[in-house]
Amino acid sequence: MSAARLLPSGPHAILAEYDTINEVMAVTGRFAVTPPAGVVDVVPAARTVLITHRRDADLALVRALLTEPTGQLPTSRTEAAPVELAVTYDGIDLGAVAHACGLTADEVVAAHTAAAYTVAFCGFVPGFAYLVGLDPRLVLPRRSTPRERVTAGSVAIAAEYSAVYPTASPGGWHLLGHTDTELWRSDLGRPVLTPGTVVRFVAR
Amino acid sequence: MIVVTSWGVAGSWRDAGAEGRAQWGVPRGGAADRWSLDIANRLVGNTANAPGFESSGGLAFTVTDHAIVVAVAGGVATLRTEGGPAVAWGTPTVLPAGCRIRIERLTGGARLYVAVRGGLQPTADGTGTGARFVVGADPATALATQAAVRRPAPGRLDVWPGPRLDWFHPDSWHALCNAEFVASAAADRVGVRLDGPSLVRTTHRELPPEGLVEGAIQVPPDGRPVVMLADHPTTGGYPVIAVVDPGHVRHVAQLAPGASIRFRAAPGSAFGGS
Repeated sequence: MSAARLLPSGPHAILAEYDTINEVMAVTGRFAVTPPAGVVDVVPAARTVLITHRRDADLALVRALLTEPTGQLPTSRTEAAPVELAVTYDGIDLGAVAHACGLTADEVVAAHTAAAYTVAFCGFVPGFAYLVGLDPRLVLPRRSTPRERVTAGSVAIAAEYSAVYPTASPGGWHLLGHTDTELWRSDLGRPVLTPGTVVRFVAR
Repeated sequence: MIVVTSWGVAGSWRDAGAEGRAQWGVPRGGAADRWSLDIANRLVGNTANAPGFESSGGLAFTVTDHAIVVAVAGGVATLRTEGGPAVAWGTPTVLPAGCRIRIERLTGGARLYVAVRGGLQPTADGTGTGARFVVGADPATALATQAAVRRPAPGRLDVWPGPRLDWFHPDSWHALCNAEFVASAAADRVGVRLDGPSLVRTTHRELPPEGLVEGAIQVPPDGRPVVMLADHPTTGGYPVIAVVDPGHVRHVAQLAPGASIRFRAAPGSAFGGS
């Protein structure tokens, strides 16, 4: 791997850029294991990790965690059982996805349920989790025209990611089906799918 | 108890929000201008993050069973009261039971904050018209003995280089720090779009979404910058040219449509002059 590039983002933040999502996930995991004093937010994204911090943060440790080589594989910090999401594969784009990928609809469902996914990062709207682990045969660009409204619980794919829309919102991903699983843990005040969580989709 | 009879423009119940949730896609939320909520709270003897109301005008409420102590800070508006004394900006005021209060149109700033001694907690019907809020326990602190002083925003707001400054034409930093920008009507708790010289991008590859800080100045393809506020998405796919100093973001949150604004390189930043 190449070195992380540290970019400025104001006086109390550092944006570290990497070549791969695996490095992003490995570095994010480090901050969960050894949170440096004074770090406020750790925000992984597709190729970056944003660290926001207090003025008196341990910046030497922050920089070390951001720049130390990560090796080949993402470090898993979740030993918990995967979160299983029961999906009804009745999505409006299932046929078009199958066609675009040169598969049958059943093969798309089989490919989508066979994989083990990991939450790489959240964004877009609260609780929207980008899951990596998608079967490479299902990788498609986003729809050229986003939909104005995608219903909550829609299970979707785009690029190398899968996701579940946590709330109704506009959306440009391909809709494969839907789940009724509650995606917000109101008892904990956080979403079910947080960075590092392992996820499996189960057809019903 | 307080009963809201009109939420008016962008009226809402707010505390100071909470950091540390961005990894879940949840922004800070809370008062867009935390500093002004803090002032209003201190005037009535509350802690800085006690929940109150945020309003861009038109908020109206009735005091039901017990007298309350209120203070207003942030934006400026006439507060009409029936059955109680007038409420001046920055001055703690006792409103008796039965008093009705209405915030008129703002004549300065974009958001006004109402703090109530003890803080406000929503009841089960805490949204919509007719929403009821209970006043929390008295903080057993002293009220402010002096009115707050409203200070104008500095002539120029400090900006720091952003992570994608090098995606822009070399003159863009100079343009950002020297030109006048005007707050457009495209402004809410997510961000404020500014009209001014177009900030020209020279790198055109697609940017995968990356983490945004409050105060980040994002530049969409049309070149008109957007300054991110309390409800900003935690990641964004447009390059960030600069970041408004955290101490000055509150002034962006108080820009009314048509208000002008200038930036300067923050002293101490790589480009900050002496």
